[in-house]
Parts: sequence; C-alpha cells; structure tokens
Amino acid sequence: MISALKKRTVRLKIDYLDDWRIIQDRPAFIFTAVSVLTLFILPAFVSDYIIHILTQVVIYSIAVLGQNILIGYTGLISFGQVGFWGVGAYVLAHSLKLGLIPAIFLAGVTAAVVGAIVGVPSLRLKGPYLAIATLGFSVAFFQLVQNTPAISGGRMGLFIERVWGIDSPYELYCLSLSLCILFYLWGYRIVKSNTGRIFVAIRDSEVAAESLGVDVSRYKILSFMISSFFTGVAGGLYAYFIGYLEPTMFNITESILMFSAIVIGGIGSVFGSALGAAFVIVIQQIFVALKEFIPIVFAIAIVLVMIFEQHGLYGRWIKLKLYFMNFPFR
Amino acid sequence: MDYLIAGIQVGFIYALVSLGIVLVYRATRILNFAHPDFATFGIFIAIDILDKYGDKSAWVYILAGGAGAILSACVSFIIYFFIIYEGQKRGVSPLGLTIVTIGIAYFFQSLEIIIWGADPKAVPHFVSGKFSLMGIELTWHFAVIVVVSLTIMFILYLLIMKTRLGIALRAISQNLDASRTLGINVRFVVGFAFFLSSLASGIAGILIAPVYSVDQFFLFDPFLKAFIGAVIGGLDSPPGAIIGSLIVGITESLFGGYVSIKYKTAFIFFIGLIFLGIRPEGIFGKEIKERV
Repeated sequence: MISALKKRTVRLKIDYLDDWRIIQDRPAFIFTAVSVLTLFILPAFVSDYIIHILTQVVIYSIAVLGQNILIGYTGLISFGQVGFWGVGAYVLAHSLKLGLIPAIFLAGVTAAVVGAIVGVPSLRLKGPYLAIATLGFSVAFFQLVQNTPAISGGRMGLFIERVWGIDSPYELYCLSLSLCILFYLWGYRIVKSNTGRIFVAIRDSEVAAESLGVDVSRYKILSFMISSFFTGVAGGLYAYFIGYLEPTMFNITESILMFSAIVIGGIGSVFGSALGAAFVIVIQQIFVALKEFIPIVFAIAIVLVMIFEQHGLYGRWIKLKLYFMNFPFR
Repeated sequence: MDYLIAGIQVGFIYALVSLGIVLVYRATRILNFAHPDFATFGIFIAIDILDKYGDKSAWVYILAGGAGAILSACVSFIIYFFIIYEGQKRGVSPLGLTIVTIGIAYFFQSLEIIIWGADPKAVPHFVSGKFSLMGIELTWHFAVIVVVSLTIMFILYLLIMKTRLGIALRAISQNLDASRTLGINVRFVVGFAFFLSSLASGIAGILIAPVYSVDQFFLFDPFLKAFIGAVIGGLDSPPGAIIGSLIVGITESLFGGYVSIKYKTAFIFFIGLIFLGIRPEGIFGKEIKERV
C-alpha cells in the first residue's frame, strides 16, 4: 500500500509541452479514460429524464467555460453572455437549413463577431463599469428580440424542427458530449498556451502587461471573441436541444444564473466550469418542487464561496485531492 | 414640455438612488448590486402597513413610507456589518465583494417572491390633482418628489460635510488603512454609509411606487439608469451623481417621447458608453491614475 503511494511521485515539468499535457501520468490516464467512457456509456442505461439533465449540463458547461475564459482568465467581468447565448440560439434557428453542424458553427462565428463588437468598450472600461456596459448589451439584445417578430417568431415563439439523423435524446447527448469534450480540450490548450498566459497577465496587471510589449487591446478583443464563440455554440446547441425559443429565455436572470455557475465552480479554472454548470443545473432539478428556493440556494452559495473559498468547487476538489495524496500528513 | 417635466421628475428619483450608489462606492469601491433590493424590501413592508389602515390620510403614508425606508436602511446596515465586512476582513477584492452583492440581491429578490408572491402590486397615489406655476401645469406628485428629494439631498450634504461621522466617512474614502490607524471604527462608519444609501433609495422607491407597479424587480431599472447617471457625473462625486442622473432622466424622457419608447433603455446605455469613452472619470470626477 505504502509502496503504491510512493510510486505516485510528482513529475516535475521540464518544458512547456509538459504543461500542455492534460494527462500527466498513468493513474490520471486511467481516471480520465474511465470517466469519459462512463459519460458515454452510462446514459444508454438510465431514463430519458436523466439524459435530459445530463445534456443540459454538458451544453451549459461549454458556455460556462467560454465565460470563464473571459472572466476568470482575462478578468473582464461580462454580463453580456446571455446575449451571445441568444445570438447563437437565434442564428441556429434561422440557419438550420444548412444542416446541423454548419449551423452550429455559424452560430458560434456570428456570436464571435458580435463579441468582438461588444468587446470594444472593454478597451476603456474595467471592473464594474464593464459589467454594466455588457449588461447594457444584454438588455439591448433582449429588447431587440422582443420587439422584432421577424427574429423572435412573434408572440408564439420560434419552434425549431429537428433535422439530420440526430433526434433521439441519447444521440443528441452524444453529440453534445463530443462537442463539449472537444471544446474543453481546446479551452485547456488556449489557457495553457502563450495566449492564455497573456490573458492572465492582462488580468493581473494591465499596465504591467502593456509595458512588457503585450498588445492589450488585441488580446482583450480576442478574449471576447473566443468566449462568445464558445457561448454562441452552446446557445445554438441548446436551442436545437430545447426545440423552442422565446425572448424571455434570454433575460437578465439567465445572465445571473450563468454568472453564478462560474463563481461557484471556480473563477479561473477550466474544469471548475464543468463543476459549476453541473451544480447550477442539478440544484435546479433537485429543488424543482420548491421552485422559489432555487435562487436562495444560489445566493447563499455565491456569498459563501466568495467569502470563504474563492476558488470555488474546483479549489475544494484540489484540496481534497492533495489531502488524500499525502494522506498521513497534512 | 410635459416630457421635460416627466424627465425632471424621474431624474430626481434617479438622483436619490445614484447618491446611494456613490456613497457606498466612495467608501468601499464596491458597486452595490443589492442596492435596489434593500429598498424594494422596505417598500413591500410599507405596502403591508398601508394595507392595514383603511383610511389613507397623508400621515399614514408618511408613517408607512418612513418605516419602510428606515427598515430597508437597517437591513442594509446589518448586511454590511455581518457579511460584506467579513469579506473585507479576509482580503476579498472589491470585485469579489461586488459579486457577493449580486448574490445578496438574488437572495432578497427570491425572499420577496416567497413572502409576498410574484404578482405586481399597485400603490395608490398619495397626492392627486394639479396646480399651475407660471403658466406651467404641474402635478402635486411632481412637487412632492422635488421637495422631498431636495430636502434629503440637503440633509445628506449636512451629514457628510458637517458632522464627525461624515468627516470619518470622507477620510475612509480617501485612505482606508490610514483612517483605521487613526482610530476610526471602519466597520461602523461604512455601515452607516450603507444605512444612508439605502435610506435615500428607499425613499426614492416609495415616491416612485405609484407610477410603476411594484414587484421585486421594479427598482432594478432605475438602479441601472442611476448608475449610468453616476458614471456620467463621476462615481466619486455626489453633486456629479445628481446632475448626471438629471441628465439621464431628461434624455430618457425626451427620447421616449419623440423618438421611440421601445429602445429608450438601450439608448441610455449608448449615451453612457459614449460618455465613458470621452471622459471615463465623469464630469466632476477626479482623473483616474493607475500604478503597477
């Protein structure tokens, strides 16, 4: 037992490629492989209801990851995410004729273009100012959709027909999960690469980053674009998954929900985003009978996390892991 | 002309709310997102008191409104004293504490739904009728709003500029650590700033309640516009906040009247953005300098 523990020594990183590696050693490889396989196979045996929740979690975690790259890594507080989410959803709804995958891609690209435009104020504003400015984008988007029947499909809302072979819940789940894994690998790569380091430098001190030769404006816009691309793809996928759109799905409350997901999951951690998304969705399902109490749970969670554990659920997980890795000592 | 008067009326309300935002921002560098929700909480209490009394004389209104505003101010004080200060003590950044206030706002919104239900409530007008001043038709409601807001602004001015507590507050907004070293009880004094800010916005909410229908989000819209007003005037300066809010109120009302009522909120955000681009520190604010 002790020798088994001793074998698991910490490998020191010797170059940047080591830092890019997601799977550091054999136990981690086994753990990852088993969990990915479980995620793919398990839903074949459980009820449709649970698949429904899982799909929601998976789609949501893509959006939360996008937001985390913007808020957690670049340090730009944005409440405009629900706007990008909505842009993705409506673009997919209107371009589904092209087929599902091109439509999802188009949703992401459109959201990224919108994100680049919304990101422009971030060159002058920071902190709460930027939060309010992006909130303004959310409000404007909501008003635009609500007042334009050509986009929103009028009073009845917009129905989306399922095209292409994917229509059973399990197939849809597999599609979302594959996309989710793809995006998580990509997000991890971005965060660990040169770009990600520049994002963190901008977050920690904009002036210092600029004095070291970083083109701050370019990377801020880039961060907005990446983030809104993720969110747009997730929004498109969500629209296809729900099959029905109406403007009230994109109001400010939704923005706060998405925001609480990253705060609870852990600001500035890739896998924390998935934990946060899972927390938000699962809590909603647990308290489905007591609908009024859901926001209270989130509110208490946000306050506790911010005051006592600023790294969120992911920070807890790391601490737990470290505790068991050097068990007798602490 | 009617639009101008409506704009001034709503501008005074925004001014009261933005004074609260500025007070808290100066003392703590926190943008208090829970600001409208403390006030809304007080207003719901005020409505309950109003419903208890059958005949609605002026005194009942003053009693109910005052009780609601003071209650919301107390709630705000308690929240700072026991939650936000705890975060400050642990070295949470102002941005993190802003997120905490979002959580608190969320908490109060849902608490209000649980206690009072989600249906909007109508509050009867406390004064009615019109009078004319120099040939301009004005409502008594307008007169009450202007007089009450000016009075509150004057009282706040006296409190901040003339009393010991106000001097301590200004010292904290200049340098927190130094004022703590010099023996100012930061926890109590900043709590007092929270108290005053919620008192002002609680009264603003009660004054405007007959115009809107009261639900748990009804002050959120004024809060956003008051924030933009404060940004235009300068987040550091109370007079700037008042003038900025009046600008926002009048612009919004004129735009809503003559151009398009649907997009007036979006337009106000646009104006705020332009101002931020031209002069980020606001009309009356000091220039922002940043160090590494």
